[in-house]
Amino acid sequence: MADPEPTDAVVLVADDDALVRSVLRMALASRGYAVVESCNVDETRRAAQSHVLHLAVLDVTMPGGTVLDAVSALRASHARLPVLILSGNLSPPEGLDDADCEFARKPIELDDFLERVDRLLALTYSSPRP
Amino acid sequence: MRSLTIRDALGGPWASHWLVWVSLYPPTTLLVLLRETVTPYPEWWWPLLSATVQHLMVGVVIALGAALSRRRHPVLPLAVAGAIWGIAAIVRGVIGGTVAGSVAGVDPEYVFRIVTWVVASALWVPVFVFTLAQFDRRRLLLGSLDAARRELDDARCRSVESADDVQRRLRESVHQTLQPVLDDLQGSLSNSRESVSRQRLEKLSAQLSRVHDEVAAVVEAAGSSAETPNSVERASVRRAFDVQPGRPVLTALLVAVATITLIAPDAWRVFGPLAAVEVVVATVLAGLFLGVGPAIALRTGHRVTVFPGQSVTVVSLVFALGAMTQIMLASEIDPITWHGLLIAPLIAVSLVLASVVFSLASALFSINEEAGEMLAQTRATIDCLTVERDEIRDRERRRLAILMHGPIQGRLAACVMALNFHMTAAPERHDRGPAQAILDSILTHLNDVSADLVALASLDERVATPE
Repeated sequence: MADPEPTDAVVLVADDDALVRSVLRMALASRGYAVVESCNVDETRRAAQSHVLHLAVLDVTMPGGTVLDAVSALRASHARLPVLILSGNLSPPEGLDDADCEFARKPIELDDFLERVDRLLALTYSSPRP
Repeated sequence: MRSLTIRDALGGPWASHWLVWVSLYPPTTLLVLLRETVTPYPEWWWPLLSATVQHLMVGVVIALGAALSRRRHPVLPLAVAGAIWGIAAIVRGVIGGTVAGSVAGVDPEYVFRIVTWVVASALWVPVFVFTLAQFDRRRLLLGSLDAARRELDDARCRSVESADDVQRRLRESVHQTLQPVLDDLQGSLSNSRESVSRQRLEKLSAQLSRVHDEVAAVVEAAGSSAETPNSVERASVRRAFDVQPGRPVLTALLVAVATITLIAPDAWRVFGPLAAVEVVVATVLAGLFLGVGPAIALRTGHRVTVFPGQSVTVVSLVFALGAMTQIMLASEIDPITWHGLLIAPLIAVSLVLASVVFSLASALFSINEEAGEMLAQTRATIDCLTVERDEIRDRERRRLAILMHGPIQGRLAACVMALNFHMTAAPERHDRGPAQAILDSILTHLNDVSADLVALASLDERVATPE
């Protein structure tokens, strides 16, 4: 498999499980996306403040706050950032009323994950796909 | 269980029940035998045959009428039930008169026969049907009450269980279900480390997915063990009979009126006015015994051990039958003794039937209403306890789900994703390095899951969370 060409798209992967972060990073890197990682809500806030992000992939349960806290931390610096929320639950988190947020259930298939990532990135990032 | 209205009782299944029909065969046959005593039939068995044919035709009329009417009204309107019974009485009179006229060559006396049967039916059948319906309801109510009390005891035992007990039980249940599956998975993973092949990885991935789904299912179903409902069986006849007689004087009056109405006209017609007077005197005296005994027992609050409710009625009935027989055979009101000898059995049957039916009818209605209210209260208490318990269980299940979410379900989901992503992203890679690293991570995760399951089962709130 040929290595993908790097793109300028930056994806934030926020999950408290290192294994999940690791596999998501590998999957995103395989498409040429740059990955920024965080493992709790505070780190997510800091990452959002210090990077220009094009997509965020959030775990629904992270230390330091709720998923709503994490989303509002992102919104402080990225008002229309698309967010893909991954959760073990069947239904989206209660109280999440954000048009730019999409919900998917964990465990997610790689193809499904990448299809969602590409679709969401197309909303904010218009450079040709690698 | 809603209360039984008059229409429910008289228009329900008992309106045309075979038991009513069978029960009324002996008294109606005795009445026909008395009525035909002086009819010059060629053979002695003709009155018996006439009575049997009358009863069979009555059965056909009632069964057919009820079946047809129930196509439109599952519970017969009172007018319809009354019409069916009325037609049956008319059919009985017509058949009796026709047989007497054609076989014995006498005046059929249709009017007399029809009127007496209609009056007898109007007096006896509704009370009979009402009593049987209420009696059946009492058996069902007693059975339901027993079942409800057992259920209440169970609910009280369960309500003693505290939230911590529920949480402990849920966790033990989750641990017992998942630990063997997890052990099996860990064993497979450890073996796979020696030879990593794509097939092996696929198998592991499928196994992991099953475990993950099973965790979700176990948490969802935790504590929702199926409760076996208590079966409702009708109480025994003996127990349902144990009813304190209500309004004994009124009951005795009704028994006497029903008996006199049934027998006196035929006694007059067959044996003359003195026989009718004798019937009236004997029945009134019997009625006095029937009314006085239970009334005294009610006033003094007397109860005996066997058949506590009806024993006084039974004792009074024995005295009433004795007094009635004495009058009919030895009073000399009607100087011909064999007249009394022929009529006495019919009065006896009538008194026994009427005593049972009328005394139960007056008592059962109010007693069943009380039992129905008691049943409703018991059910409400059970519902209340069940709601409280369900609330505790749901709360504890949510608590458990939160505890399970990150450390167990989250890690398992991570393992599944890691294997799937690895296989999908690098399908043709044969180098063991990356696969080995993923397997090591997964094994570490599963060890953590296992440790957390043990901690969870031991009610340790400090279940490790992913880093």
